Amino acid sequence: MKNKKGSEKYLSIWWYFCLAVILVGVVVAVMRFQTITNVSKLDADVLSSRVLDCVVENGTLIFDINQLNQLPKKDVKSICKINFREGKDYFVGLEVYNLTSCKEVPDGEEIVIQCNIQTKNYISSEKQKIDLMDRCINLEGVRTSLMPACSYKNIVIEQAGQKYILRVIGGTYEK
Amino acid sequence: MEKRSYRPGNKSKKGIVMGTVVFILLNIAFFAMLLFFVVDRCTGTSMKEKVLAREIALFINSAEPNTLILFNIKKYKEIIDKNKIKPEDFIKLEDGRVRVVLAGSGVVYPYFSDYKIEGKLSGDFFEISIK
Repeated sequence: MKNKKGSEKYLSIWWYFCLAVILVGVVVAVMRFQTITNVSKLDADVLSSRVLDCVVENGTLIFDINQLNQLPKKDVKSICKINFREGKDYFVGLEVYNLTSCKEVPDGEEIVIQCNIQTKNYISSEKQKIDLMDRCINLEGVRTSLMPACSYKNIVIEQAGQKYILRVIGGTYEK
Repeated sequence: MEKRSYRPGNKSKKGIVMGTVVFILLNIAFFAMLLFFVVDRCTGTSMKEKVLAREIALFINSAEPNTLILFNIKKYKEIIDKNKIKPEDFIKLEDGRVRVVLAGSGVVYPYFSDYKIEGKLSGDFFEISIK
């Protein structure tokens, strides 16, 4: 009879353990589900499209390519009518590649196109919770959590009779 | 060492039944609370606030100047009335942020568009004009 008492006790412990596991599982599932309201990917897409639309006119960059890296951050923001407010992290990157420098390079089983970067300009919002520039530039293609999102837009532009690839990067992170 | 014996007769039938009933009721209460939590989190006002604030911010961010956006807010009116929220406090565009209040303090979500943006209630619609 002593054993029976023990088994009742263990059943009770196991029952509470099961309830705790169910509780944790449901709470985690609900929290994961709630991330569907995270629109960082869409926002990053909108940001990169908007910057691309305003810095390129008739297939030409509105700035001098050779002076792009010296361009004040506020210039891009004021021309594109964007303002990075608190509550969310933002990143905009402009990269210009020389089209003539592009060559096919084997990378494992794939062949990738590599081009020499001519100039670049990165703009980030202040007091970032995570380094969005690092996430969008150095960790490009690496799958991480859902939260930080980057969007890339490439376009061929022409300036002074030479062709370049303009890459506009938009990144957002919902704090 | 003292030997103890277990006598089922010591526990009355009523006691066993009561214990079982309490056990079942506690389990029902636990799962009911869990269900309420899931339903509230997934379809409740907090979720609706979040979704609406983000929708408005995305529309504002992607809109060109001289655009008028109309949001049908008819389906939210019942919730606003129930929670005694003033219609003019339901959606506000202030300092680059969208504030949506369906209950409590609401949800605030920033947008990056720097055009002149104005929002006002107009019947069953919330009008956002981008200039």
